[in-house]
Amino acid sequence: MGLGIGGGGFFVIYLTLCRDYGQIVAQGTNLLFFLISAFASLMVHMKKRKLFSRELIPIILISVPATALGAYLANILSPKIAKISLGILLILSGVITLTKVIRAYIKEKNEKNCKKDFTK
Amino acid sequence: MNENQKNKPRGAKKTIFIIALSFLAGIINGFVGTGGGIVMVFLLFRLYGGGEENTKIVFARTLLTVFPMSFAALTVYLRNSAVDTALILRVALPAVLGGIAGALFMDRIDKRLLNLIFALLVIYSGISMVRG
Repeated sequence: MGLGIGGGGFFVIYLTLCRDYGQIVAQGTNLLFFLISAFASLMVHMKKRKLFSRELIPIILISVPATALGAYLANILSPKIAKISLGILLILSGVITLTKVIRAYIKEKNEKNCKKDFTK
Repeated sequence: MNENQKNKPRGAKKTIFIIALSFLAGIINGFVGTGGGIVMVFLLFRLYGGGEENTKIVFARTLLTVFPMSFAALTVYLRNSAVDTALILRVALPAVLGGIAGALFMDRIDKRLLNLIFALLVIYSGISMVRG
């Protein structure tokens, strides 16, 4: 979690699959878990580097009410929709990131090979 | 102009980009109780660019933006009695220690490894969620 993101999904999975929690209670509990661990992590980050920038103000002003709306929808719609939505979101995000990592690796390898050929 | 600067949205496109993705991040974070950070990372990478130091700043700033979002969502979940506070009391200490360890450890691992760990963890989580 202290890496920045990513811990949340795992706690929801742990609560739903290992502890038989309902999806919505797992999500709500995860939010509280996130806030506790993120607070400690944020304190460390803030000591190390300047985090706040003006560009974050509109982002926070838009995302906070949107989050409240999303939470309201989660509590009135079927929990199965939330569960599958989360799964799809995580898979997509992981595949995109993994593709970027592989592309960067291939690019770096090609550049190294080019340098080797040039020095020969 | 380097690659990162070329990819940055500008003007009206930037405004629409920020509004749309901030809203999407909020809806997702509230609806599934997590995941807003994934959209936020994408948004902030586009705004601030990549690179070794920027990756660390983007991840930390993501945490800074997701924190108030999660707080807002939590208030709604609490109103619907959808939070197990007793469980949290038991896992709070490991959560705090984990958060501190992650933040300290972040400077010691390289950007590619960080992204690789993130990608594999979220794919595994996603498959587990869809399979139910």
